[in-house]
Amino acid sequence: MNCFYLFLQRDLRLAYRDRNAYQLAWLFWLIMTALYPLAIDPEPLFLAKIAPGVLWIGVLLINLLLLPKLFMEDYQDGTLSDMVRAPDKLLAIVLAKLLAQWLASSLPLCLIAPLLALLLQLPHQAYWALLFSLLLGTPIIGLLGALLASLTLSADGRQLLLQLLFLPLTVPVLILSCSAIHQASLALNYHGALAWLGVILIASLLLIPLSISKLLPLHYR
Amino acid sequence: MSLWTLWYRLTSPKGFTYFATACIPWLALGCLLTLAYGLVAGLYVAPADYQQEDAFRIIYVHVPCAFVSLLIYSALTVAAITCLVWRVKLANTFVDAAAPVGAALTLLALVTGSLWGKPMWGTWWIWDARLTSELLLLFIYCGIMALKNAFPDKRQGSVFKNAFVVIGSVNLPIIHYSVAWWNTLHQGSTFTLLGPSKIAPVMSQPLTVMLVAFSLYAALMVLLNMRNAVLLECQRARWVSAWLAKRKR
Repeated sequence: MNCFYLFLQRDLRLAYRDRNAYQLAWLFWLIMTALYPLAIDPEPLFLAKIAPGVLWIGVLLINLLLLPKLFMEDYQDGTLSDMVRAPDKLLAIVLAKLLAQWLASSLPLCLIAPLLALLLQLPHQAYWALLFSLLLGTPIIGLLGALLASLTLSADGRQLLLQLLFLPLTVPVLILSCSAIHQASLALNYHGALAWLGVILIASLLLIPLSISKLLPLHYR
Repeated sequence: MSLWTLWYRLTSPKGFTYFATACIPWLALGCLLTLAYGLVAGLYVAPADYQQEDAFRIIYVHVPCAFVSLLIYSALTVAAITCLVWRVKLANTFVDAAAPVGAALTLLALVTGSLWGKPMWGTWWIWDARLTSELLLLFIYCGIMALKNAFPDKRQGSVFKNAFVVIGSVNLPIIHYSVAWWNTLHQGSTFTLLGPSKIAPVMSQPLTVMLVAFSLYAALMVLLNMRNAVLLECQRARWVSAWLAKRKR
């Protein structure tokens, strides 16, 4: 447990020092969202219809952009090879890193999301659905991304490879989140989709950190 | 000879090469015969559909492609787990050899599907559940093939590639159901392997034969690929030159 807090603290501190990159990622989300009305159609009803998809694709792309930060720096400066030498602590370390990454990259997105939803004319009854879909969906996306990042750590051409592996696997989360928001904006019941997101989140929480802690040492054999 | 001895002999490079060489002509013969029968029975003997007329006949290519693309993915999963757990090297060769075949059949299923969709639905492509999940399957196949060549150390890379195959196999059903829940236009299954089909026997029998033909074709291609890979890997071994000399004669 001590190890978990130590690494959580360390990774949060590193993320704070590197806050520029995270701020740029949020700006990217804002700019990308602003481009859709310009490129397609600024008509409010139409914007409200595409809003869930626009916001969520932005979330996916930001996660993709920030993915290499998770293990890459530790891999390159050799810290990871030390972490791997403590197999009984590795799971705690991985969990701490994942939590820190989520706190630094995705939690702020949940806070900015209402602002962007406003720009996209999302109906006000869909705001809670948007928030809950982000709170349940971004950890899944983060876990999945971390799994693939740990898989491709020593691969050549990592960044391009990651998008090929990552984006198709995020489809279920994308569909469930967007349909929850869409249904909420029509004032329909959206709890079903959120419940499924919760199921996927629990399953991935159980399986993925463990798999990552088994995969990371394999890069050093 | 115990079953284990047989297993070790078959999965050793030399034993496998001889086994594959013995199998390939029979597979090719079986594939040709079933393909010939299925094509004749499907394209000439079977009557035209009452609604789709002759256009329905593309089912004899489209359904086998889609079926075998999924069959290969399940085989990949089994092979990947075998490779990860029991470190059977031949299982990794299988994954490398079968992924391109699976990707090609997935692509063919998409192409034949869109050729069928144009006259029936009036469009080349529709964002329908089955089409979409087949497209995502193609992306996953591409991911596997990309991972195969991505690592500087081939042996190390094979572990990660096989891990990705397993991740994909966990995700594929989720993708399938989420997409099905999202949107469906594709007709339901008219053909079931077990139990009564909703299709007349004179139409369904050629389809069964075509399923067998495509499975044999895929097996043939995978075996050829695997044999090439094994021979290339062991090219300096003495048995390879002996095997080649025997082939030349």
